Amino acid sequence: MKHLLTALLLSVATPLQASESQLERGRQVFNAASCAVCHTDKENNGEPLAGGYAMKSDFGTFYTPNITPDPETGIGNWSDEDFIRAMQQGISPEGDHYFPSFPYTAYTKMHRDDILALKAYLFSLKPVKKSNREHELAFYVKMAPSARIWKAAYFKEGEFVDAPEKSAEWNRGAYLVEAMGHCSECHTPRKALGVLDETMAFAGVQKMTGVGTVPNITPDKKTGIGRWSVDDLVYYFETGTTLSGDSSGGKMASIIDNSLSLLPAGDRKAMAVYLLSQQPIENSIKKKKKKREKEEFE
Amino acid sequence: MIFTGFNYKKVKRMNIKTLTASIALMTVLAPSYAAESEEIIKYRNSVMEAYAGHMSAASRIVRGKVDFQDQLKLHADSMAGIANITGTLFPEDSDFGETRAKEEVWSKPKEFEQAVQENQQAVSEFNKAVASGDKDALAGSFKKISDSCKSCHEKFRTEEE
Repeated sequence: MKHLLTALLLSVATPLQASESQLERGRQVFNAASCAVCHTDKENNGEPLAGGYAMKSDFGTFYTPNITPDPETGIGNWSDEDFIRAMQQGISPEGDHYFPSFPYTAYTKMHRDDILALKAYLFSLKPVKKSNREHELAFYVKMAPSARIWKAAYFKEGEFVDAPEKSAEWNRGAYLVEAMGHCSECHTPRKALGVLDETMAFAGVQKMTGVGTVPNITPDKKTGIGRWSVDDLVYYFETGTTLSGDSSGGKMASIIDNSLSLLPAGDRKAMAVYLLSQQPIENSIKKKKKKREKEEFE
Repeated sequence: MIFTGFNYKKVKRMNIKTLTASIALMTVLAPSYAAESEEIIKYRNSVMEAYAGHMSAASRIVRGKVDFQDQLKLHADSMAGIANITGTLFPEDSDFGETRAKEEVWSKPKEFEQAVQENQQAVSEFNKAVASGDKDALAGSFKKISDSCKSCHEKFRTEEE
């Protein structure tokens, strides 16, 4: 009887315990994947994660969807498998293909456990009733099969695999940067049709629609962050203060606030170690200043 | 051109129509405040860069990268001095030219003023911490300064060309 009671208690207690640690893990994944940066429409004081943020691009404006657990307008009805398919394959529960404005191209590298923890965390948050807004896209993008054709041609599905010859820290950094942090989405220039130019990984973008000037974060001494130490980069992730004492603004300020500064210290260091181990690429990116004219003279 | 020095002979050689036309044209195309705006923008950039220089130098002392403890007060003082004038660097009409300052600086003056004050407050806390030598207060107040810089840049400085 006593044994039975213990067994009974254990069977009740174990899943509860697991779910609490799963929630904590999910919260960390949520921060590392910087979900809040795009799924909250901060500019218009939108409710957390209820979407509607206008993501401008060369192909039109994407409006990010509601990822709160509201069953009607959010993802409250999604099964675990629905969520995993969306993250790893870019396919909605209805079988539609997402545009790669949703970075499943990076999230596909995430481990299943992390994705499930993220889902558990998202489902623990407040549901918000807010319908998704339709994207406003160029006609050739709007055509039904465009997302599917793009995927067939350019999408590589598959979870991240550790490089056995590298340290655990390096591999953790790689996972954070490549899978969850999706840094390349802005820091790597794109070729035609928005395909990342992997020969220029992290070398920066002079002018990215909707984002602006994105710096070269390869360890090139002249044009990148080659003079930064791991500590300098970790300090930047914490505070947004660069080596020259400037302070980040724009999108990156939001990424510091909603993602990088919230990570465990070890994760920030792992990301810095990984980034500074990259191939240095000489690519000068200059913050140009906008010339604003007085209206009468335009 | 003709305003750099009054050259009577040149004026005499010009016929009166050309002269009137050029003066009219110059009045429309080159109003003095546009030039002034560019100069203010250049001055503003230099002051901001000086601020960043002190920030960066102070951060290396606060983070224990270098041991110039006795120079920390110099940076703290300079930052306080600059924090007190940043609000004056954005007069009306100083947004025409090569600047990353967003229109919101002028269209939301109250919010901008508040952002400037947050920065001043953080710098003043930092100065107190430097005077007291309290390590936690030092790190905490310094973090507040970078937070205030970041949040102001996010709202009032553009990253776009």
